[in-house]
Parts: sequence; C-alpha cells; structure tokens
Amino acid sequence: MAETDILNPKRGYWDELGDNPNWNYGWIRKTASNKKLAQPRLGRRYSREVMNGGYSASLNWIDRPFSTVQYLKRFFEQFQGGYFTLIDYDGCGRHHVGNFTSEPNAVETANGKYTIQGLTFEEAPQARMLTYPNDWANSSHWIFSVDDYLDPQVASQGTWTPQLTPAMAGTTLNAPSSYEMYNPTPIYSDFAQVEYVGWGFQMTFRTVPSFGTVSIYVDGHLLITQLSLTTGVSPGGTFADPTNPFAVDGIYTAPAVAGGFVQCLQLPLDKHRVKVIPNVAFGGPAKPVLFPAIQVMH
Amino acid sequence: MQTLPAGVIGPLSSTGGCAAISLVEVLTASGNKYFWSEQRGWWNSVINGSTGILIEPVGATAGGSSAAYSNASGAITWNESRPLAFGYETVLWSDFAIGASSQQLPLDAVIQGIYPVFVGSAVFAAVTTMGFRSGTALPISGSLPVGGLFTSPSNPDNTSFTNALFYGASIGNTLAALTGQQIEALTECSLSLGPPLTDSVTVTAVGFAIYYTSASPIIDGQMPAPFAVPAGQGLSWALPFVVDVTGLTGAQGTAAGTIAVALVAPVPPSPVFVEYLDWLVKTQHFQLFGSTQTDTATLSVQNLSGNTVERDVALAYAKNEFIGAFVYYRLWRADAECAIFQFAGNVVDADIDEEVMELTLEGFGNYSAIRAPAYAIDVACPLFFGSIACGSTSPTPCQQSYGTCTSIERFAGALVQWDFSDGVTPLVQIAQPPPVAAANLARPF
Repeated sequence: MAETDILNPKRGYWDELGDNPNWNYGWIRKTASNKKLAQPRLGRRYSREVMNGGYSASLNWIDRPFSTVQYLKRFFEQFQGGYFTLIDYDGCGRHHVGNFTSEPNAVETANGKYTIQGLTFEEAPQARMLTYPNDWANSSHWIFSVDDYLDPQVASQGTWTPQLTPAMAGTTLNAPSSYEMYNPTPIYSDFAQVEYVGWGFQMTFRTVPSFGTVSIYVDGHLLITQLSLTTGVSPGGTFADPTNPFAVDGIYTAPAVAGGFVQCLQLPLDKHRVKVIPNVAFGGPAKPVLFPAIQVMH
Repeated sequence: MQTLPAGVIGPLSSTGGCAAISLVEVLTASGNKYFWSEQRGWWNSVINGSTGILIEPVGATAGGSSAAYSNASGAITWNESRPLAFGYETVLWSDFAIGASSQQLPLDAVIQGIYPVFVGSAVFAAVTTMGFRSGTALPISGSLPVGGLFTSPSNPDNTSFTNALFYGASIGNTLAALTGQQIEALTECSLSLGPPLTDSVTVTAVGFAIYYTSASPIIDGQMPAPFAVPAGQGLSWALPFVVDVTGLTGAQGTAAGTIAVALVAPVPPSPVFVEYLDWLVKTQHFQLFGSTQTDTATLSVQNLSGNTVERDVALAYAKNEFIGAFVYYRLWRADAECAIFQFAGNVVDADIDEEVMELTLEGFGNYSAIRAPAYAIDVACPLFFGSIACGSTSPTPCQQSYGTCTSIERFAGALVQWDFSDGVTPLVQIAQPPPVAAANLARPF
C-alpha cells in the first residue's frame, strides 16, 4: 500500500494494463505555492513558507483503452485520503507520492477510446517514499546563515553570531554563502535551528581542532549525537533504526556522517526543523561550535 | 541636512520624487521600542532612542525646548566696612560639559575653538582688586593674577560694567580641553580705613563657547555668542556643573554669594537617529473627527519577516503587551525634512494573523469617552428653581443652596460644603450656614 503502489511501474507499454500507464505529453508539472509574500511600498520583499505542499501535475491520458480508465479510477478511489507513488520518468525518474485530487472523467472519443484530461495529482506531505529525492546537484537549494539582505536566517538561543567562515568564502566577502553561525562559548541552553519545507537535507560542518561537539535534532528527534567538530565524525552514533523511537515520523532515517558532512536523505515532504545543540548541554566542554549553511531538497 | 554615520545609507536626500512615508514609533509598556516605516532607513526619533523621554519632534533646524539644569550663573556682593585685614571672596565655576540643556555637537562637527565666556555686571569700588580668570587649578585664596585673562572686548579686571560679555582666548580644539577648566571671579582687599565701600560682581551666565564646522551647524542661542558665528559654523555651549563660593575671609564687612541659578533656555534637542524597519504594509489609515471624539488610526505591520523559525512581529507580539503602547506617527516628507502630519496615541487593539499585525490606535484627549453628567457638580444645586425637576412650589426663590432649598428631596447639589476661605480643603465638613436673603440671580422672573 501507499508508497509501494506505483501508478506507472513501467516506462513503456505494460502488458498487465494493456496500455502504457504513463500520461500523454502536454501535461503540466506545477510547483506548490507555499510562500506568503509581503512587500512594503518602499521596502524589501519578505517571504515565508507557510504551507508544506509539494509538486502537483495536471495529467492527460488521450485515446486510451477502458482498462486504463478503470485503472486510474481505482487509484483515485483507493487513495482518496492516502497516497501512491508516481514516477516522473522524463523528470529524471523522480518519485512522487500523492494522490488524485480531481475526478478522472473519461470521455469516450471513439469506439473503445477514452480520454481523461486535467486529472490532478498532488504530492502529499509526510508521506513515505520508496526512493527519496537525491539529486542534490539539480533539485536542492541552500539556506544560508543570513539571507541575501544579510538578515539572520537561523533562529538561535545563546551567543550565536553570523560570521564570515574562513573555509567557505563566497565569490565576495558579502555573499550570504560566506557566513556561518558561530558560538565561541556555548552554554548548556544554547541551540541554533532552521526550518524549511522540503525533503532531505545535508550540511557540512567545518572541522577545527579546537572545536567542540554537537548533536543534531530533526523535528525534535535526536538524529546524530556527539558529532565532533574536531574530527568530523560521530562517535556517539546515529539513529537510523526504524524501530527507534527517535526515528522521524516512523520513517527510516539514515543519516550519513563523514568528515563533518552530514546528510539526511530519507525525510518526507514536510516542514522540517534542523536543530544543532552544543554538547555542552550534556556536560561536554564549552568549545566553539557552528551552524553551517544547509542544503535542502526541493 | 543631518549627516549620518559612515556606512549608513541616508534617507534624507535619497527619496527624490517619492511619496511621503510613515514613520511609526512604538513604546510598549515593557519599555521596548519599535521603529517602522514603509522604507528601511535612518530617521530622527521622537521617542528618544536612548532614554525613552519624549522630546519635541524636530527637523534638522527646528526648535524645541529643554529645561535641563545647569549651574550657569553666580554672584558675589561684598560690602567692605573699613576692612582691617586682607580678605577675599571668590566664585569658582568648574566641571564644564555640554549638558542636556545645550545643543549637542553634530556627528561631523570639527571644533574650531573653545572660548571662556561670562556675562555679568560689576561695580568696582577700588578697594584693591577685582579680577576674572579662566584656566585650570585657579586659586581660591585670593591671589591674582593666575590663569588666563578675559581679553575681549577688554580686560574686565578692576572695572565697572553692566550686563557685559567678556571672553578669552581659545583653550583648544577638542572637548578634552575642557577637562579641569575653571572660570573664576574674585575680589580682594586689604586694610582700608576709608568709608564703607561696596564691590559687587553679578555674573548671569558662564560657559565655554564651542565653535565648530559641520554640514548641519546649529547655533545654540542660550547665551549670546562672544563673537559673530562665521558662516558655515555652529555654536554649542559647555556649561559648569559645579559652582563654589568662598565667602568673605579675613576682612571686615559682609559678603554674600549666590550660586546654582538654573539656566533654562530654549534649545533644539539633538536628533537621535534610529533605524526604521520596512515593515509597514497596506495603507495606514487615519480618521480625524474634529470633535470631542478622539482621532483613530489603524496601522498594518507585516508578520512574515524573521529567520526561518521565528517571525519578528509575532515574537514582538509575544514579548510585549501592545495594547496601551504609546505610538507616535509621522507622515514624513523627506525632501522637506519635516512631518506634514502627526498623530500620537495609544494602541487600543492589536490583531495579529499569519501575514499582518493590525494595530488600532486612539489619540489622546478622548473627551467624548468621559462618563459624566452634563451639569456642574457643585454644592450649588444646578436645577432651575421652580422647574419640573426642582418641583418646589415655594413662593420664595432659593439660592441654589441646600439651606435655602424648599424641595430638598430633589436637591441636586452636593450635600456637603467646605469652607475654602483658607484655600485648603478642611478635614471637617461644616454644616450649611443659614440662608442669606438675596436675589435669586438664576431666576429670570
């Protein structure tokens, strides 16, 4: 059920269906309008993600056999409140989980030929996936410590300040990508966090011999503990067991940690909160810690 | 035009052709201040940015007032009655600084000179010595000359003059030069067998005149300028904060010194520049009634800015009680550097949703909201004698007093009366005195 039910498991003709389950050309791949915008008359623009919508599509099946009509109708009914997997073969084979939110209305255009137009597929948030999006080069964007106006993007408690990182300077010193949130003397109550709407994330912590250790929480669940910013590895380990109560939304999360690089790929579409807590909170030494730019999947 | 700190993008001359903008200042009950506009930039603040004291809104050159206290004057009077020994009397002003009552120096001020100045009158009776000095470590032991002379327009030592201004040479080009500076007036005499004489010095103002150049020079007129302020220059005053009088010593006669006369002068307050954030959205709406109903307004503040987790305005809303907050609004013309409309009031309602915080404001002086009867509350009854409300059928008019009332169950005055003859409300209520026969002026027939 759910993510294992694939609407179009094959790219071409599918014997079992007696048709190609994929939709015709002329379809629309839509991006969700999750953002609210504010524009003071003479000020800068402000935006904020206020919804967790994903991709949607307006799909057409032109001159198909009745079996396809029944097939689509079955998916429509079965997943009214749930979700199934749809594979966008032309879109690098990316998986989408969601359901049809409009009715499949079939028009019999000729004897044995049916056309369904404008069938709306909408991606569902918080839905497990067979394959989580992982095209970091083409389907991700960055949330830097400061935005393009150099206003802070990271919410923090404690003495975190945006500073120019010596390790990852941008094209100019004023580029937002040149900044990281830095806390030279963390105390037990300090933290820094960002929120985003999307799928997985990855971030690279700069490793410095004098730096301390951090734990990383995702949506309130402990994901990585005692990540050493000296060695870039996590002797405390990660929490990847799906039966672990810390697993995010019961979803198998398999963070990868190496050389300060942290990747959490298996996150469903949702608003996610990535929180870094200095390990001084657990009695560790009060050594400097940082919160780097975060790359999130969209 | 005001000069802004280096690196600050100034709004004052860069809004060419744009419409007037709103400058909103909010002071919440918990003391937090918020400065909002439709455009991000630096403007002067009505709510003083550092102390929260409300000062007059001014442009770069408009005038306000300030009543800060400075010991800027002093006087000594000495009546010698055949003194038989050496004696002296001094007034010493010190701790000169640009106080709150003085025009502050603009940020770009370059001091051209700092001149000791005093204004006063003197009667020199030729006993021995009368002198005026400025400098550091002046003696108070009656020995002249020490320190710098007042040289312009002449040396006032041992002369009589009336309400004249004297000044001396510049002490330097930095405010640090004021450290330790003193100004002194002194009389001294020795044995004199002549008739009783009177030396007197009355100083009405003392200070150091600070001449400076600036892009926005302002002349502080609380004391006369010792010499004409050159074009392009401004003038500020460092005033003394300590005055010491050393009374008559060692001689026969009487002496009196007065100090600590507050010098209150109108001076424009120094603009305090703060950054206004571009958070105002929609149209700021004002309703002006022109009656006893107070003016009202609504302001809309966007609730989207902030970091990825926290919204700025929602955070402010959570940390402050906005209802009751003081709000000062100006519709600001940047080209004229003045507010063409101003509104001061309180927040009476604060509604916030995902996008906007709406503040509903009411102006001050909402007289229509006062719950009070439409007649005077007084010991005198406000009713018309013989009217339906009065109900009296007596042929004798009353005097609107309880004692003369013939319809006491309907008496509408206050039932006690105080004797205000001594101007003080007594603790004891006294009985209504017996009525005095007099014409009822309230009765038209």
